[in-house]
Amino acid sequence: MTKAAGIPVMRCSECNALAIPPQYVCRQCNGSRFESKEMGTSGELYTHTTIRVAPAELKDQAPYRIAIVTLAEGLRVTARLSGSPESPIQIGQKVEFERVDEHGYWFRVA
Amino acid sequence: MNLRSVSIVGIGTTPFGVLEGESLKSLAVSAANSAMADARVNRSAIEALYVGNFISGFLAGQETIAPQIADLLCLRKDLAATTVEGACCSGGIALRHGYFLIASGLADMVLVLGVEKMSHASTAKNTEGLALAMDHDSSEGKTGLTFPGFFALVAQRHMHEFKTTSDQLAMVSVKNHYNSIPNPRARFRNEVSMDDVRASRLIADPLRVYDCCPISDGASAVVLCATERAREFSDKPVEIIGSAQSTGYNSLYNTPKATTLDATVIAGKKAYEMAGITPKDVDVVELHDCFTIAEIVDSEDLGLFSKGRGGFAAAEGKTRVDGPVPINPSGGLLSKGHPVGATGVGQVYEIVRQLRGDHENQVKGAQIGLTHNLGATGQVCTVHIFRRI
Repeated sequence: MTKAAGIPVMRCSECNALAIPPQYVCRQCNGSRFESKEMGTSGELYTHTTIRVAPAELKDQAPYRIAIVTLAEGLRVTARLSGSPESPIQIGQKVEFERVDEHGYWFRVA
Repeated sequence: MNLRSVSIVGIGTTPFGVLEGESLKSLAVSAANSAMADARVNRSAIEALYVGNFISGFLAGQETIAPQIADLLCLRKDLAATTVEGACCSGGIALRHGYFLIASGLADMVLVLGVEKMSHASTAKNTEGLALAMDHDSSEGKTGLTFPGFFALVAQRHMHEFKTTSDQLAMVSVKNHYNSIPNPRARFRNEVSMDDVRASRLIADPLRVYDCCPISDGASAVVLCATERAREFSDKPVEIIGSAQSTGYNSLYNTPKATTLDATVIAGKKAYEMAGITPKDVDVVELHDCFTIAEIVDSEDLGLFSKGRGGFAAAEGKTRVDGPVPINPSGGLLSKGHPVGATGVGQVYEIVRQLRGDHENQVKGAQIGLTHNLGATGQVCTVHIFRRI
């Protein structure tokens, strides 16, 4: 899938509000035209968990970490966190964007 | 808007739990027959049936269940039988549709049923089935987030912002397990200690096995009637004085704050307003404790405690059956069990018993009760408020 330098998001062509794809109608102005936008690569950990009991198709990957990351302008995204699921992490910590693949967005602890 | 008053005149339920030898339909018929018998109503008087169900297609290989159940119940053939689906909120939505039909004057007697059969399927199949309620197109759905994972994200943020502790979460589990000891309808009837919770397996940090509700089989039913005729069918009718439904977000990243499920706040406000009461007026609550953190967040979002105080209130015993804000005296989803489509109607069964004054875990003198039923990742919510009349 896409391997981008910056975090791929969408920007409303009408009001410039940012959104995580897929978004069909802008939550701010209800417009329906969007363009792709790349944000920077850094974010901040908003909350996190370690999934120890995974759905059947992801059993081999468990335990794995999922986080919500705050990006610029208050936009948030739910993402996988790479690295050991047992390493100590803290809400508020900086994280760096890695990639987007079939599991969605990936970040690593900065 | 001129709405007619609507009351509950009959209730029936199966136990919630692992009910071997029962089918989706045998459970549904059993609960419905009990409710009609309780209402002393001839089944030919029932004008409509709403069935709340989530995953009978996936787990039991059966769709179109409302008319099939109606036929099995020998209900009349001009009856409208409709299945409603809203994940874990299916039962609450079914109740609301029954309420509408009578409030509008289009019918006098409606049967509302919630049913789910889950325990025959493997845990993997159930996990897959429950996950059907997540938005799989979203980037959140792709990460492999599970339902416990979703509420674990809520819990971590809640703990960070409000100093809620794992022990406070555990207190909710201990309390709800204790509450269901006298409840013959509950899946679990054994005491669970703080140490049991602390020692149980981590599912999604910080949530452990005892922070999560068990899958269950079960069915619950209520007979609704125009209040003006309620005394024909019940000596202790219970009036529905508030009914509200709301829509939340598909994903937690779009939810303004991970510590609040907005759908609950909105449905709660609308229901209180309709009932003309405030949260302080509620004597007994059955709310959607699919996870321990959910009970804490729900209790705040419903205005029973201020934001951030839910965990402390639980730890201080305020939500016990003898406390100022009794929550889930039935044992709740955590210990009574969570047969998804049945849960919302099962909550109503418990509240009606409380308002009739004959519950096994009775809140003394309860006059006003509230049920809160939440679907999926807070995507849909119903709140109903009831009054003894």
